[in-house]
Amino acid sequence: MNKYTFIITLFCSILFSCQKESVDDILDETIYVRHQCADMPAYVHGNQENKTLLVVIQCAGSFGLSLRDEHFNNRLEDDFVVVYFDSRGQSMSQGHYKKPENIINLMASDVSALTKVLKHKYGEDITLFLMGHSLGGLITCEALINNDLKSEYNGWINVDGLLDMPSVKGDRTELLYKTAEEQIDIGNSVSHWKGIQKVLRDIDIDTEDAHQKILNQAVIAYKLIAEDQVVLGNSSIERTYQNIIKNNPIT
Amino acid sequence: MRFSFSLILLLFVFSAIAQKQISDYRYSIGYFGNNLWNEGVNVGMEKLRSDTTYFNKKGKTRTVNKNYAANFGFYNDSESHLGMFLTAGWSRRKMLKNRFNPTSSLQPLGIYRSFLPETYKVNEDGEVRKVFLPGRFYLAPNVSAGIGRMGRWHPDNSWYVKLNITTLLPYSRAIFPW
Repeated sequence: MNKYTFIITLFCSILFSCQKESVDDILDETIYVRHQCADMPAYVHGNQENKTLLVVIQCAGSFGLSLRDEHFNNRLEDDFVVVYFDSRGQSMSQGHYKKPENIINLMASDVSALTKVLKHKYGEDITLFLMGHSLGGLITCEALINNDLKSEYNGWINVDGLLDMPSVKGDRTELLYKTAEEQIDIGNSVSHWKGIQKVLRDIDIDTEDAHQKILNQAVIAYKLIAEDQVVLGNSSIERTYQNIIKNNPIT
Repeated sequence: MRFSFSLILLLFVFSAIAQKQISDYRYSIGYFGNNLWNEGVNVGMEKLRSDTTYFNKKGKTRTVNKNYAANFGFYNDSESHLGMFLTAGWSRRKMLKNRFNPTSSLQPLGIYRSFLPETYKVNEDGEVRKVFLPGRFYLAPNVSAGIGRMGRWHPDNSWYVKLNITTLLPYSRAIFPW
């Protein structure tokens, strides 16, 4: 092999290595969905033996693979295929388009387009489940109701879905206050939880910055319940590794 | 509640370049990595525009090269896309006494093409078809800065390390520098 052949071979191998090969029943690939002027990637990972796919729609300002922690990677993907979708305008999705009149409806129609592509590529006989987190909950709900996807999906998993926006601030405050009471009753970080309750009482829910103040308390609350091992939280090193090195689509 | 669907990501492009000067032309080839680790290649050419020698405030001689510059290259993000670009503009290089050369460039004329993996288009009727050579073109103005050093025995040969910032226009609903 002369040097020119070597360079051309090297170039071509890099060029076509974008598409990862799937080994046996294990899928590990990226496909794009082009719909309404946007190109949106779907990262497909897992075992296709059962022909069961879980489509995951992420929260606002995030990326599909952000949800791919050890539970998805080591448990769900062992038995099922998980499709992590980057919604339009977020993460690695591309395309230029005018601001739509109803962005939620448009993003819901993207989910409908993704569903059609999955059936086209992996077969009409696949079993589909839909999961949405936060804004993804709203988008998936809109997709099921207004884009007639109910017959396409066998189940809907709503994780903290943003289904009733006007009530969000009140609901979050109520949940935080109730959690604080529970933790105080069992003696976990009592002074901190009382501090959270005091801040929550002082927040005027009708003001513009109330949303951010409540979120700040939610962050403190999450750290407390992780420190007290009420829930198992990833360490900051694990989170950094997961989001920046392992699952970050831009790396 | 306000939603923001715009995306602004600042990704740095790193390149390590070997360069050779022949007459008024300099040719370079080097490693080019998006965000330090997506592998790629960058090939460049510069034509000398002016070569000015002056005395600085301490009375030492300094030489500044101003050049026309053009670059072609690509990088591979194996998870999502391959990016290929062609840029043109100006570069400036200061020759210091210890053979170190701070360098900078402004290349407003740039074109970028993304190549996406397997892509399916869904039209308004819900029909699905595979897209041939999927990807998009963007205007890609570029600025870079770095430092290099001339060879001790062969001053026509030199190496450079540069940090590049390129903006893709129009990207989604916002500016997308990478």
